Amino acid sequence: MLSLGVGKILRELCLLERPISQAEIARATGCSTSLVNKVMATLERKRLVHKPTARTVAVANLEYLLLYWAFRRDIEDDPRELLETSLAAQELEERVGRTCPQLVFTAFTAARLAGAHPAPYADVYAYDFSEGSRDLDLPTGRNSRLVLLTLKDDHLKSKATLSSGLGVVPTRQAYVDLLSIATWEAKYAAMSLSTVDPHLPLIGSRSEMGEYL
Amino acid sequence: MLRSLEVLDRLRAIAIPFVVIGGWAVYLFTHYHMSRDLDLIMEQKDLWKLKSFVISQGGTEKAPGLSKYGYKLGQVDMDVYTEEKGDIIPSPGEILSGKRFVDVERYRVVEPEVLLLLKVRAATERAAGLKGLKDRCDVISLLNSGRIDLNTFAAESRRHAQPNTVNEVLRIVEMADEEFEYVLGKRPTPQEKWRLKRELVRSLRRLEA
Repeated sequence: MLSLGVGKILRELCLLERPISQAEIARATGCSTSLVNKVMATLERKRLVHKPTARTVAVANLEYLLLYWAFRRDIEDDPRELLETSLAAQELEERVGRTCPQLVFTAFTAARLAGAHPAPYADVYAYDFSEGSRDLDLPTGRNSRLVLLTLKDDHLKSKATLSSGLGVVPTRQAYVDLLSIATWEAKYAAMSLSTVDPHLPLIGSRSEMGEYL
Repeated sequence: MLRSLEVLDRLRAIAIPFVVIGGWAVYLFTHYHMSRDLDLIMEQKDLWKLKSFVISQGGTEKAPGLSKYGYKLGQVDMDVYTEEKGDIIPSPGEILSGKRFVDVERYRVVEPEVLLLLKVRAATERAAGLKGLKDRCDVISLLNSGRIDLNTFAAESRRHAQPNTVNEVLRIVEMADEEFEYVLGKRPTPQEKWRLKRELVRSLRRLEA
């Protein structure tokens, strides 16, 4: 399981495309410089980052760094609450987004809004930081599911953008989240996100993706 | 084209948890011959990580067999055993849950005695052909490395209801000929071969007694 600090640092690195100093990372993430140095030393040993100058670090292999982040992150184990409803997934997003503007959507929502046309899906993932979304009055049924990830690491909302009225995590964060969800729908959504951002590793063959690409 | 050491290195770099068994495990203990293929044990829940990585690097997943998962990446064939799919003794589940592995050169490698048990079984099951020869070489190089505690090995064999394993090792050593040449990396003189064989046979006979 990824510690909160390390998660913040990996996220900062993966979302940035320019060399950055370790002090800047520490400021942006709120982590101590010693933790940043320690994480950088590990990543440098793994050849995932390199040091273009003495004071800065740059991502050496973004593909690998994203996979590393996803494999360490593993949100399958995170605490979650599942709400099944008769609403279609997109309808569910809209309703929940309107009722609980504090939620930050990820995974399928980000893939859809990025224009990646993910596979037909039934699970809408959202981060519920305040745990105040339990009283959602959703019509019962089994058409789609709202998966509320109840996390304490509210840095995840820091770079969320408002898209179609929903707070949505950046594409790379959504990709990492999707990789951690072990369903074929998530896999297809992650694959379709790879078409939007060429740095995202394609985790399936194009023939396997077929109509979704 | 990716080679197996490079693949191992990358798997470790991107935090895929695995335990090395097979020819690579022998190499890490003995630095004798590198192996072309990779044999790994991992938890079923982590298998998606390996699959995602292999496919993202242009590799393929083979149709899963009854006893293992298979992947191909570059020139490298990977056989993966999990607690749900792994016809080896000791079972992958036992190796993982019992933490029957040690750190060697920053890799997690199955304990040498357990590795010897796995290798002896492989050598017995596929005695003919090049793979059988490589298995016998692996057995001898492990014995010759000084990393094996023979008493632990014998206890391990008994614990897994494989009491004949010590006899099998003895038979492999007694019958070995060209294996010594591969293990030592040179053609040994008859005296050298005899001395080596005698030492191994003596220690194995003591166990048998």
